[in-house]
Amino acid sequence: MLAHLFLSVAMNKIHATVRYAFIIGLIILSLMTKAQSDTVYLKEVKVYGLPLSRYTPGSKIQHLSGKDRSTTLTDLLSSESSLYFKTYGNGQLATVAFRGTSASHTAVLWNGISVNSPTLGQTDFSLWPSFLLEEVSLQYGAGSALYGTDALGGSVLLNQYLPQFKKEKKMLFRQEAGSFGHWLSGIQAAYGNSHVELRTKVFYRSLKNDFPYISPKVGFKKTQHDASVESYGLDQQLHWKISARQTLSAEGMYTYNFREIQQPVTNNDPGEVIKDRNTRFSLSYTEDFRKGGSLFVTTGFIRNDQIYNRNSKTDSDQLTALVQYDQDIGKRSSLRIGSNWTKYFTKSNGFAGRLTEDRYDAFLSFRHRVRNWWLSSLNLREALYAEQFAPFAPSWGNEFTTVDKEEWKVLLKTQLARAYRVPTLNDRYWMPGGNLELKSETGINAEVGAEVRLRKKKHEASFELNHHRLWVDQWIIWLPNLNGLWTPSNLSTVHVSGIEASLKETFTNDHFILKLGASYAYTRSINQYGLNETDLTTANKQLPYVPIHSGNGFAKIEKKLWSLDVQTNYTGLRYTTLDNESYQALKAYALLSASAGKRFVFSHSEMSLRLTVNNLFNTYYENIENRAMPGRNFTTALTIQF
Amino acid sequence: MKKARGYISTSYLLFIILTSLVSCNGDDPKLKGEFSTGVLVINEGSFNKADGTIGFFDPVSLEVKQDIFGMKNNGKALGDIVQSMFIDGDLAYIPVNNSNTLEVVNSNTFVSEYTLTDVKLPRYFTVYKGKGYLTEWVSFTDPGRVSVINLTERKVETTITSDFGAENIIEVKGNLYVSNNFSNTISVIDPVINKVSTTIEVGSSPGEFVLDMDSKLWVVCGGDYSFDNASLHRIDPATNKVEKSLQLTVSTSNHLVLNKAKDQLLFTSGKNIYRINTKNPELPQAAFIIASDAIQVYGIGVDPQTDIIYVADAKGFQSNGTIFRYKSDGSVMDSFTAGKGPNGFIFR
Repeated sequence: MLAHLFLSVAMNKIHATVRYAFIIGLIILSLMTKAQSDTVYLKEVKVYGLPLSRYTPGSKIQHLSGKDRSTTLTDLLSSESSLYFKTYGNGQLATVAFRGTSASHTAVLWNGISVNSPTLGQTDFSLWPSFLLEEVSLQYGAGSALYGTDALGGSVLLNQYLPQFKKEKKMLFRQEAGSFGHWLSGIQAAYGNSHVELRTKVFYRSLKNDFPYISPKVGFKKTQHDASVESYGLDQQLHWKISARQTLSAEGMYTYNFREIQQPVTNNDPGEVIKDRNTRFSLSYTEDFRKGGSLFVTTGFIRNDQIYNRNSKTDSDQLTALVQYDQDIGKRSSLRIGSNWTKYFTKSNGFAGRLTEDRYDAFLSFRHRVRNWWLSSLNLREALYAEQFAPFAPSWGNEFTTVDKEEWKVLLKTQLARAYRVPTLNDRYWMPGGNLELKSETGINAEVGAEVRLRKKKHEASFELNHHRLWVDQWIIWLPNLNGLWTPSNLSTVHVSGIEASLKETFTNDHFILKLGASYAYTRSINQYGLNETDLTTANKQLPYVPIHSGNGFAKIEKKLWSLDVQTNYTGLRYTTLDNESYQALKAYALLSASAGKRFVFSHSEMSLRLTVNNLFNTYYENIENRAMPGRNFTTALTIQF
Repeated sequence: MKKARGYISTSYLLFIILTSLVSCNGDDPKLKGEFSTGVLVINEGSFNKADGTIGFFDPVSLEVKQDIFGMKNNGKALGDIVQSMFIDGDLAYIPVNNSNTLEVVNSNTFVSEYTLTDVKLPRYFTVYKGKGYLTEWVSFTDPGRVSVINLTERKVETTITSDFGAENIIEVKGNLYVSNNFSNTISVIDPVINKVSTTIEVGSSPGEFVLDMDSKLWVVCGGDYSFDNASLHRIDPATNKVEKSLQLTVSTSNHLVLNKAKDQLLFTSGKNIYRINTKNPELPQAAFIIASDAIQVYGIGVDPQTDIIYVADAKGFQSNGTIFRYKSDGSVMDSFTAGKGPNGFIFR
């Protein structure tokens, strides 16, 4: 009782300076009143934003759940998926590649807006703090028909949870402390009534990164230095239910990230520093019409400022507007038409002055339930950039429900799609060397998959198996030209083929819930031709930084208020050069992490404490040659919500 | 009979193993080590990847060994941008540019002797009268310098500030010439007083020096990136005056080498290898060699014993490089694989 009184008083008086005293007081009081409290679980509501899956039958989609356990998108994606990260160190630049492609072949969309840098055509995932994000999903394979440029290997989709418009007041505090100076403080608050919903998130994070390591390339124990990271950020959402059929949603996000660039293990002196400031706004309007029609309009503004080594500045601003209209046609079909416009404004030391570019996309999607057991979707997109057409991007996906019993379900999936990547602004306009004649990269993706789902009262399982192929043409590579000047050209052709398998099981009984999972990916990503007619050493070789074998596994047990989990992932050997010399390859590694958590539940609040050990066996590993990654490390996280 | 032969071959094998353990080299007992004769290939590696290596090519057996430093030092890495190498007797000095180190190894065995770490963006090294002279860029905004190294105490004695981007260094008649790559000057250093005594103005971005058969000093100036304003200059070390300048109207690398007779200069521009006579220097009408199979010509060397021309193709750092060999008349010989980003050669 006392705790509740204290809580309600404190809620009104909360102030930054008393935050920690408040948290500590709360812990003590909570512990004291633990015995009196009854076990009411706070129900987690998960309803997803933009109806993603509507036009994606046939493609592989993965929703990531461990957002609360990770610091940045890098940590989240690398622990839960078999994507390969080129990570230049813990908290350092990290780019992701799907299915044997490169970082530039990954589309990243925030609230439906493409957020890849227009100058580099990539996203640094270490600049996206998990604490500010809500729903994170991955769509594997070519997705240009739905997401536009860059979606050759796959797409990362960052969305908000749909507003609930129910009466609620929620508050969440998170405090993490861990090895090598890891510190994260965060607050999330939500307020809702039948018309308005507000969500606020704030965080601060710092990381000293002074971990010890023994690299075989150095031969003795060193301590990493000059690789610290400091970041903070804010996210504010406002959802307004104008009427039963109309909703307006606004989101503003600001993140600041400063880091010292971690140097290779052989280097003793500090490297450069890099400062990133990202501002993102989006305003969306949704209206549902009678007879199954709905309108969705979004406008977005994105500003990325980067200062490299305190003097080299790259600014890019982006304005986007998207309009789409969905219409149900009878009970079996639906149609979506839409278009978007994006304008980029960039300034960089590499360009002659300011550079602007307009891009226009028009798209159409049609979904049809051909039979009760056959769902099909056809998506088309045509884009225009710098007054020229991007390659036409159609995709056709099918889902066949071959077994549909109470406890069993078997789905077969197929997808055939064409995707593209518009050359980046650096590719086209960099001074000197930019090549205005560059064509877009194009890829044809074909895949077949099967999914078996078992649903019993005490046992749920799903098994997925997938075979995919991708043929990429006009792959852009920078090489010195005849005068020794570096310039990009549409040089390469890459064929990817792979198999992905995953298994998930959940056993439930009166005493515990046990979850098990494993996944494996086999990827061959083969460069088809040499760098010129006579170069034989690079033809028919695996692309650098693409592991042929990779996989992960997890086991999680929840018993009453306790939870324990173990996670492992394996990354096979990766070549670092196009000619696949094995003496320069990065060795395969397996990492194991474990965590234990306990929740303390009170009548109106809940507290959880979690201890995590990462890299339990203190394995030395690298994702980029000679960049040390941390060995065994610990994190404790305290979360309080009411 | 069979038994006897088996016995002989076993003991012979044992003999080979034992001798190879003792001398590390079965072919020639006179050799001081595995690498005392042959061609050393400098592979600078990719920036910030610390994958620079030294490779070894045996021009007789055509055998290639990659990363001989790693091979002889328990897999250790030389470091980030292995810029150059200077051999003085039994020691080889290797400035590792972005690692800020000068690695000193036994030049015959490549076993590491010591590493000097208080240097900043080192480039080239030379030895004069028992002292080491190391050029250093220092930074991209500060003037470069030459560190004078006491080779017995293994430490920097003093530093001499030159000009921006202190690059190549050569000793001629008791003076040290330093090309300042981020400027258009040559600093002449008097090693007695450790001061710059004269500054010579040349073209933009001076790089490597060579001393021709008439004891004239040549320097190649790479020009500004993408401006095609490279130049060659002949300096008389007696007067420290520029006697002759050739505007090349192309862009070149920083590398300049001489043929065996030291009367022909060789330099590269794109995939073209040009040759200029030192006695009668004229702008070449056509390329001497076009390395048509190369992707990115990044280094050049001439074997002073055989006159064979070695051309290094760095292949845009996408893969390991290739070395193309040409006879002294420019005809194609053969090729072999290098490490990442080959930029030069040492012939022993």
